[in-house]
Amino acid sequence: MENVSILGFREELADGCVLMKEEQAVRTPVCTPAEKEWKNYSGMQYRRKRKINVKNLLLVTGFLFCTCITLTITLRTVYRAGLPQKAVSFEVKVIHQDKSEKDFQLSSREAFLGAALEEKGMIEGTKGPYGLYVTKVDGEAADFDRDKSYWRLQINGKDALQGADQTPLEEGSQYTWIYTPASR
Amino acid sequence: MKSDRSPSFDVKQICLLALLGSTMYVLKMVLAFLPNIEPISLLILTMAALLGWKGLWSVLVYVLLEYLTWGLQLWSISYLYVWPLLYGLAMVFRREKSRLVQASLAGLFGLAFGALCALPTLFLAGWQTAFSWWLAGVPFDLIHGLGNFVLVWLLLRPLEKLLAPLARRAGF
Repeated sequence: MENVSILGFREELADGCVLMKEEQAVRTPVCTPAEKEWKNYSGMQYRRKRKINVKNLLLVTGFLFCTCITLTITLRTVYRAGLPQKAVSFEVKVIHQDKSEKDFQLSSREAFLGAALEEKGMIEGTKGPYGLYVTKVDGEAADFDRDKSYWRLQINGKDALQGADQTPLEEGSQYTWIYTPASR
Repeated sequence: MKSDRSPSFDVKQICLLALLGSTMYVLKMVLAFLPNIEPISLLILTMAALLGWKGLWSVLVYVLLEYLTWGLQLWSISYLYVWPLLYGLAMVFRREKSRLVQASLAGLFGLAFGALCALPTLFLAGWQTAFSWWLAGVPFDLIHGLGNFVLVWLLLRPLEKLLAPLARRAGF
């Protein structure tokens, strides 16, 4: 009865190391079969030791670390995009064809200048492949096709590098629209 | 005059390398509708395990096909070092038995992809532009990394089993 149970256990493990230990145990029976089986089950020392490879460990932890960082950045971006935009106050200056200047103190919750001014009806334009092309500011139209005139946008006195719909609204900034006739 | 150090190819090997390169290209196009889920990393890991350094040639075939499709732009520079870099890393881990380690390698590469591709921008436009460019792409890097991890975790072993006879027949 004792042998059968031990044999059965041997087959189950199919591990040379365990087998040897069991044979020793059979030769020197100092505990009951039930105790023996429990010792075998709990005999963690029989398990093959796994070598820990520093290179692999670094790689896996590096992956987890970078995942955490990128996940944090992504979640922050998503969270911020969901927040309602704070109202930003800014100044818009329009210099018309007859050199007359008009100042406007405005505030908007939009993220970009183009959307904010369109919402207030200050500018009109057409959406082209390069974004919003502004044709009318403060009621005055500049028709590039007719006389090569256009509305030039400046941010704090410097020419804008992007269209109005891609220009972010910033607190206290001055945006200037200048009617620019064809240069001769 | 052939020196002993130059790797010699026979016709079967050249065909296999070319076919694997174009397979990478086709599979990438098939998966293009999923943002940043790509099979290239998976195939590179498989080829490094089966073909050794010679497999780098099919990566170059793939890069060439990309150039022919999209034309030469700024990203073209990064493709010259990004994929060979992954190939080199895959060669380091080619005998690795643990799926977790290999999947982590692919995942880490995916996460770092944006940063690696930002290097030309760094030299051309300064660190601020490069940093904001990288930051804008971080969500896509995350998808890329996790996608790579899952793909390699699930498909690396089956793919190795599938391609091993092919590689053996070609004499790798």
